[in-house]
Amino acid sequence: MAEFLVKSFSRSLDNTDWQQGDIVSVHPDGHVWGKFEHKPTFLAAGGVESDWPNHFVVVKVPDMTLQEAQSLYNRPSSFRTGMRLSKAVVKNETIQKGFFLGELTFNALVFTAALEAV
Amino acid sequence: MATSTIGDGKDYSTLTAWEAALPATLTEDEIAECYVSVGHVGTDISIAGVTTSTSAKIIIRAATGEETTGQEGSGPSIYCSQSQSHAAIDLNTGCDHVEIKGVEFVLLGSNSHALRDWRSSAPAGGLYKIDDCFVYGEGSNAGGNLLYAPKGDYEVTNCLGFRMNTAGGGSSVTYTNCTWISRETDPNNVQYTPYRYAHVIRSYAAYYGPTSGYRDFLNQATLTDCASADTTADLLDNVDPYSQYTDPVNGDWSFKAGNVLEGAATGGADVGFVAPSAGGGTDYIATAGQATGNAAGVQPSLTVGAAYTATAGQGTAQAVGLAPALTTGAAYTSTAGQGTATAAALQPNLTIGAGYTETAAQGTTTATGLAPTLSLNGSFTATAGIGAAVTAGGQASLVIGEAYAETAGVGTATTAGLAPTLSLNGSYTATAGQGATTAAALQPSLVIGEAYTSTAAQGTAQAAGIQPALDLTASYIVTAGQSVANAAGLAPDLTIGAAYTSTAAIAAANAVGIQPALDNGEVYTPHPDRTLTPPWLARTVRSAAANRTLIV
Repeated sequence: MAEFLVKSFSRSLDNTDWQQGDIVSVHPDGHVWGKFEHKPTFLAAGGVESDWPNHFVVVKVPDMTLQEAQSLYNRPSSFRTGMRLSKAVVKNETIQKGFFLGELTFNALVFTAALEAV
Repeated sequence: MATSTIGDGKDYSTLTAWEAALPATLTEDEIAECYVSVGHVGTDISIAGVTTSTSAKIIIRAATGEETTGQEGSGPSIYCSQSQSHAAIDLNTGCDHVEIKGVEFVLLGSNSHALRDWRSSAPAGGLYKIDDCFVYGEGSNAGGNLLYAPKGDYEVTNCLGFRMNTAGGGSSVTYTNCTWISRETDPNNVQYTPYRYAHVIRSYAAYYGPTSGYRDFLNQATLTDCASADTTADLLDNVDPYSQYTDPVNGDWSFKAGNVLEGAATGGADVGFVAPSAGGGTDYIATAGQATGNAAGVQPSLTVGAAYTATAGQGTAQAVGLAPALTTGAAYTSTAGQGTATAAALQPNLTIGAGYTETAAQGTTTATGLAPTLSLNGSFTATAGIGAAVTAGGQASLVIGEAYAETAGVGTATTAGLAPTLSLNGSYTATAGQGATTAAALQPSLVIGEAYTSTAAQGTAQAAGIQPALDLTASYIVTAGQSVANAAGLAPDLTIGAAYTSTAAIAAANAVGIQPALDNGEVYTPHPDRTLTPPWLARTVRSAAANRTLIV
C-alpha cells in the first residue's frame, strides 16, 4: 500500500505553487507521519481539534504498490508537482466527513483509495 | 520566530512537507530543526512561492546535538536523488534569505548539486549562509557540487566536501575554512576547479584534476591563506589531504598530529574545515516548558567550558536522567522547580572544575542520589531545602580539592550517610541543624589535609560515631554543644600529624573515652577543664595530707 500526503488548500493563485490536491510526498504503508501532517497523529499528541492547521490530508491507496506510486509521482524538480488530485477529493467538506473515495484515477489507472479518517 | 521539528515522529516527517506548510510571505524566521532519521529528512526539495526578508528568513539547521561531525550519517541529511542536473534543494525567486547549518547533503550523481539557485537574479540585501555542513557524493566516485549558478551573496563557512566535483563559484561567494576533496578516482574526468571565481579564505582544496587547466584554485578566485594539493594556493602547496586528518575516509576529520593546516594561517587560524568537538563549548539553556512530560534523557552532553542552565519548569514530572554530563570547567545551575518529584539520578556528573549549585526546592521528596559526583576542584553548595526527607546517600562524593558546604536544613531526618567523602584538601562544613536525630555515620571520611568543622547542634542525641576519621594532617574542631549527651567514642581517630581540639563543654558530661587515639605525631589538646583535679581526687589528697600520706 502507498500513502500520499496531499495539500489541503492552495498556498497562492500561482499554478506552479502548491495547490489543493497536490501530492507533497509518497511513502510506504505504515509511514510515521509528522504531527502537522496527519490529523490523527496531531490529536494523539494532545492537539486540540480547533488547532489542527489542516495543511494536508493523507490518502491511502491499498491497491497501489510503492513503486507504482513513486512512478506516478516522478515529478520534474523544476516545478512543483507531477500529480494533482481533484479539488473535490480534498475539499474540506469531504475530508471532514471521512469520505470514502471509492476509486482514484492516475494516468488512466484506477485504484481504490481512501482518505485517512479525519 | 517559528520553529518546527523535522524527522521521524516530529512536527513534519520531511522538509518537503514543512516547506509546503509555509505561508506565501514569511512574517518571521521560519526554522526547520532537523533530526537524524531513518533515511533522509528531505529529498529533492524545492523552495518556491515563498517570499523572505531580512527579518523573516528560511533557516534549516540540525537540532542541538544532531549536527554532522563530518562522518556520513552523523547529522540529518538532505538527498539529491537524481544523477544529473538536479539538486537536493532548489531555491527559487523570492527566497533570498536562507541559512543552512549543521546538516549533510548527499548527492547521487556526478553532476548533481546540494543547492541550485533558480532565481533569475538576486536582490540587494539577500544572503545565503551555509555553515558547518558536510556535502558528499554517494559512492566512491560520485562527484557533484555544493552550489549551482549562485547569484548574489553567499557565505560558506566551515563546510566539508568529500568525493565532489566542485564547491561552485561566483563573484559574491565567500568560502571560509572549508575543505574540498574531489572524487578519489577518475581524475581526468574532473572538469571544474573547486573554487572558481569565489573569494576563498583559509580553505583547503585537494583536487585530483589534470595538471593544467582546471586545478585546485583558478586565478579568478581571490585567495587568502589557502592550501592546495597542487601548486595553486597562496599559502601551502602540495599538501596531501590524507596526511592532514586522522581518518578522513571513515569520517574522522580531526587534525592529525604533524598536519600542516592547524594554526598555519594569519593570526594562528586553522586552514580548512575544523571538525567540531562534541559540545564545542556551546552553552545550553533550557526553557520552562522543556522536558515537561518527558520520561528520560533530555539532558545535553556538554564539554569544554559549556554552561547549562535549567529553568523552573524543566524536569517537572521527570523520572530519571535529567542532569547533564558536564566536563572541563562547565557550570550547572539548577532552579527551584527542577527535580521536584524526581526519584533518582538528578545530579549532574561534573569533572574538572565544574561547579554545581542547587536551590531550595530541588530534591524535596527525592529518595536517593541527590548529590553530584565531583572531581578535580568542583564545588557543591547545598541549600536549605535540599535533602529534607532524604533517607540516604545525599552526600556528595568529592575528590581532590572540592568544597562541600551544607546548610541548616540539609539532612534533617536523615538516618545515615549524609556526610561527603573527601580526599585531598576538600573541606566540609556542617551546620547547626545537620544530623539532628541522625543515628550514626554522619561524619565525613577525610584524608590528607581536609578540614572538618562541626557545629554546636551536631551530634546532639547521637549515640556514637560522630567523629571523623582523620589521616595525614587533617584537622578536626568540635564546638561547644557537640557530643553533649554522648556516652562514648566521640573522639576521632587520628593518625600521622592530625590535630584535634576539644572544647570546654566536651567531656563535661562524658564519663569515659573522650580522648582520641593517637598513633604517630598527632596532637591532642584537652581543654583546661580536663586538667583540673577531680573532686574525688582532691578529697583523697586532703585526706592523705591529714594522715601525712601523699596519694597521687
